[in-house]
Amino acid sequence: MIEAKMLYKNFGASVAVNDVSFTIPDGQITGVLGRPGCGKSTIANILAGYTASSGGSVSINGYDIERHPRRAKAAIGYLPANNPIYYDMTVREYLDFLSRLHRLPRRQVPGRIAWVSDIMGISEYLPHLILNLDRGVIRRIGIAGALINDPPILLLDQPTAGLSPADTREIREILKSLRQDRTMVIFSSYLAEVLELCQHVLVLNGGKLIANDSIANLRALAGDKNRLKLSLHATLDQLRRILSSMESVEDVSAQPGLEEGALDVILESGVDTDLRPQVWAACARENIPILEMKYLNVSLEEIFLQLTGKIQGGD
Amino acid sequence: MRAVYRKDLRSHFASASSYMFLAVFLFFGGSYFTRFVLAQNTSEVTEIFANTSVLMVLLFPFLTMRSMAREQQIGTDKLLLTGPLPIVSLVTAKLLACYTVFLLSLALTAIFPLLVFAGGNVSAGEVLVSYLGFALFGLAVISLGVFISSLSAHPLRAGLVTAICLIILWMTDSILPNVANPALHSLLSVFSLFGRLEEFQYGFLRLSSILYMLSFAAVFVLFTCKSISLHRENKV
Repeated sequence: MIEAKMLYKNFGASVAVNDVSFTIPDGQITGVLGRPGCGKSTIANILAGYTASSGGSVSINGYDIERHPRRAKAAIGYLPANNPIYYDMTVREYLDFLSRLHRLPRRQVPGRIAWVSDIMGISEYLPHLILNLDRGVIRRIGIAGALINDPPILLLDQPTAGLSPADTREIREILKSLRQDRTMVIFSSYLAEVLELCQHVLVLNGGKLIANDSIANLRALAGDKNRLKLSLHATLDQLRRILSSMESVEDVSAQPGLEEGALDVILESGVDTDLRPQVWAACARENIPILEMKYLNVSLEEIFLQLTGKIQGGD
Repeated sequence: MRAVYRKDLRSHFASASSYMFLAVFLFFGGSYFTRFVLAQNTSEVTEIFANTSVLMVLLFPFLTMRSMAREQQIGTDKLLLTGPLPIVSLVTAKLLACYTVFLLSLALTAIFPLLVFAGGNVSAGEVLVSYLGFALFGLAVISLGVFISSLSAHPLRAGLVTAICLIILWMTDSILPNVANPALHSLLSVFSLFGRLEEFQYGFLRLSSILYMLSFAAVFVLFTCKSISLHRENKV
């Protein structure tokens, strides 16, 4: 379990992390989301024990990172942003070095290297000099390094930043396979990544924690509704008849469409209601052609922008 | 600690700076040996160290400048400082890796007294004391260099500052005999690293000098640990 209490970090007059508190229970996959420069990496570095906080405390599995750094750090695997690595080593040498740094018993080292290499799909690169490998493989080596001590907690700062779409997809698939029985914190600026991998989200803005909730609750927090856009070949009377049979519709707006005789309609309903089958059935009854039908839902991206925008506006 | 020591030692022998250190050290050692011992037909082997100690001012920075600064420059200090290794073990490992390269080059110079032993009369005790003094001097200077390297993320800058500090220490010893003020004299004596080395070169084995060199090294190991801890306050 990770517990951060009133974390504060300043560099002179500039405040990077401002009174951030959260608890990440065992086994939860949490995304820390925010725009670049919002304090994500600073928090990652504080949790990993690299940076000292100016105030507040961090406890890893019950051990304070400042008072019991060895015990706290032993529970953590950390992939820092930009994936620092010794490029002049071969992959095997690098993983061997990290195993010894983490004081794995000598007899366990070859088995552990084989295990992480297998998980990360880098077995074939073990004898290769890291310098000669491509960026996607090097990132996988970085994650393998974070896994070398088989830590119960994995902190990954920007695990796919700067990678090609193919490499990004591969790494995300690997991370999905690592989620079982492990607490994972993914620091990312990519909403899609957090949505795909995480159950819970912490949203940061300007060093402050502005949301700490499950993804579903975050949608509700931003006042989400299902908004269905229709383009119908119908008159307003026909639209009224359709709507009279649809009790789930909470709000309606309509205006003449671009095509002659067309009507552009937006229907709002609760987040759990899918209006599309009802619309289709009602239009079929009235013999009304549906020219277009699509959801205009507020995406999490919009929610994220709304949340961060609100705070910026408030400042 | 052994992991970092092995990594650093390997890194020393994968970089040009350590080879440059070895080559220049042995070249000048050999030159002085030829010039002062062979050419003048004497058995004063310790003269080599008397002359190379000044040269060391310019050579030691090559050995120490990368030790901490390079890790900060490429960001791998994050790997080291987020592992379970205590800072003092990390610093000691880095210091010992540099020191091993130095001891290796020192060991290679053993050929000079051995040559004189073969064909002349040399006081073995004097030579051993001289070697001990130089080994302790190396430890002290390397600890200073590692400390300066921990202050910067630029190896060249760290090397330059180390060289400047060593020149100041060397000059302090040069001006020390001319300082009349007793208070200032005793203050400057604290920094008399080269003066202590001279004692060994004359064959004086003093516990106070041994303790001075060891304390000098220990103080800078502690300073390095403190510097890394303080750096944690300013890391993003």
